Amino acid sequence: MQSMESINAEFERQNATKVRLSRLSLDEKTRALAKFRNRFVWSLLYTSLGIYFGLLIAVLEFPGAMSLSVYGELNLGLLAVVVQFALTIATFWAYCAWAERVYDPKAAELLRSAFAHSNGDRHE
Amino acid sequence: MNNLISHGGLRIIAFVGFIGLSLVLTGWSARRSRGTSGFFVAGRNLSPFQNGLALAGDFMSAGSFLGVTGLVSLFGFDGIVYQVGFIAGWIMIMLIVAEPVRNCGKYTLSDVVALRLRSRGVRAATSVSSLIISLAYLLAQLVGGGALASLLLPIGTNAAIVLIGILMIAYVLFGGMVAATYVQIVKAVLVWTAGAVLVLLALAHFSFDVGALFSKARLSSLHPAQYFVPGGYFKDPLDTLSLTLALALGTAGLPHVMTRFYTVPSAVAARKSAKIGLIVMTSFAVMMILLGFSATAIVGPAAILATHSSGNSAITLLATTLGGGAGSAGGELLLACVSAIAFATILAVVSGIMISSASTISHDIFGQLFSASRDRERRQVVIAKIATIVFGIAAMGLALLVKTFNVAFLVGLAFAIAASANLPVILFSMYWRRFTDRGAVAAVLAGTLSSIGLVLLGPAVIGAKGIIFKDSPPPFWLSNPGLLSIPVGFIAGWIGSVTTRQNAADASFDAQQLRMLSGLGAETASEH
Repeated sequence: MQSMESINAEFERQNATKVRLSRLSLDEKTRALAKFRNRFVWSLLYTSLGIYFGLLIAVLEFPGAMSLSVYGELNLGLLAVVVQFALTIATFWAYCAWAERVYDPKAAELLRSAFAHSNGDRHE
Repeated sequence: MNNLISHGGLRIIAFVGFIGLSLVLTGWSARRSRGTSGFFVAGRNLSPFQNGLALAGDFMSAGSFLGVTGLVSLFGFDGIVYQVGFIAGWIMIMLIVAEPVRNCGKYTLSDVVALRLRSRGVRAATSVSSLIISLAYLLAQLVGGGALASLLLPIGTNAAIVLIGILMIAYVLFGGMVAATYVQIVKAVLVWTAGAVLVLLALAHFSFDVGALFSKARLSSLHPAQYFVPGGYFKDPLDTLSLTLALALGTAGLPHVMTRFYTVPSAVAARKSAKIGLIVMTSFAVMMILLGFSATAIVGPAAILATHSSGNSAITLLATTLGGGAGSAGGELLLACVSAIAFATILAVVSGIMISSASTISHDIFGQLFSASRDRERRQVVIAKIATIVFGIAAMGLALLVKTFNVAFLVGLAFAIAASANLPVILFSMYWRRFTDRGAVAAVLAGTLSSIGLVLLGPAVIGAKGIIFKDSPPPFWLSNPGLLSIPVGFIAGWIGSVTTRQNAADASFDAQQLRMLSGLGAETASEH
């Protein structure tokens, strides 16, 4: 027959394992969400800034070509400016749409897990 | 009536009217800015729309309203480069800075970094870099604002600097962030509306034919063949690249811009406010470009240059002409409105910088570095108010001392330090597990010192266009140091981190990520 001490020790060990697993699970969820968010936002950022600096370098490197008319007074240089403004707005729109539709529910889920985890910690 | 018009009476009425309105707003704000959170971040109770307008207001400075319009009018394409650079800077803010900063921080940028890196050295370094940025930006605004106000109003430059300084101190002292924000919102609405009205009037001048406006602008310009192509103002492509790099990356490291994201209740609200801000800013940038072209087409570059060599008076001359010409009731009315609004833009921007500086001095330096008392949270407001008076008077005094110099380079310096010192620390602390205290201090020191050092050795200070040694060529050829100082800041942060063996910050990275992503533990809005 098990002594009271050994039962308590086993109970403590199981609790400690549970807390570790719970913490591990929360850390894993956090890392998974961070990876998910980073993959989207950094790709979008690199693309947007890449196009911005690409356009800028093209404008600075080939100033003569910028005077080529596209339509009336609108030349390649002014078109690059229009494209840049449109690109910035499109980037914002893409991010906001993605965040509202995809990211926010996942962030809310992580918050719920974190609350559950901290409540679990308090009970134990 | 004629006497009122001929002596600029309408301008004085409009100008006194705005000051009166702003002081009423400050009095009203004083009741709403109670407590530490109320004073520093408006209790985090602003709506995304309000904060979006205030964010846009920071962008819609006198530099954009008068300076960029003037550059576009005189140099065409190259003037647009500034607007595009500022707007592009918001991509980084929206995607990787705004929401994480809102969730991780409290009152200042240093709070974001201190969540992981808790050493006093890190807080001291980030506080000092933030203060240097604020001081450089504030000085440029005060000197530029003083000169502009003396152009628009019947007062001298000294009086204009002192008046702007006193009003700036009053707004922050009595109304804190609430007053600074509402002054910014009112100004944003006024300046955007004024821009829209002037664009409509200018387009009406050409029967709403944009092509005709562009053709007339090009043909009326100083160099018609060069007007719509690069190279009219910026002669060195590397210098242009360096400037735009600092503008595009530095915006995300400006303390007074980042502080605005603490004034809303959540990260989602921060995102929405950035979106609203961008819509307002982009439409404003397009309007200012159109007004620059309109000024050349309608007023002509000779008249603009005759009034101000940098073209700062382009928009006021355009307003006068569109209203019916100098001396006419319509012309003077439009000029009065535009002048008062230009003055409002200066006041609103300096107030935003002032509250951010007061937060840094009170919360970071006194609250976290020097005070161990338990009631330091309560005392921070008192210290912030003292800091507002001392820092404000010091900035005013410095502005009066350097008012004869061309201090426009200080804005570029502020952006360069923001991109070279603050940005590496913000990004590394939020996205790189291996980042350490030593890395943070190294990034701030290297980024700040390289930016300041290269500006001191550059053409803004030494050489024909500089302040000293006008006969000598500058040792460093770029006007803006961003091209070199930004990589220096990032590399120093990386080297400092990878050469640190033990890292306590590494363990707290997961906790910080949890807060950054979910908002768990983030600062909440105070009760009304």
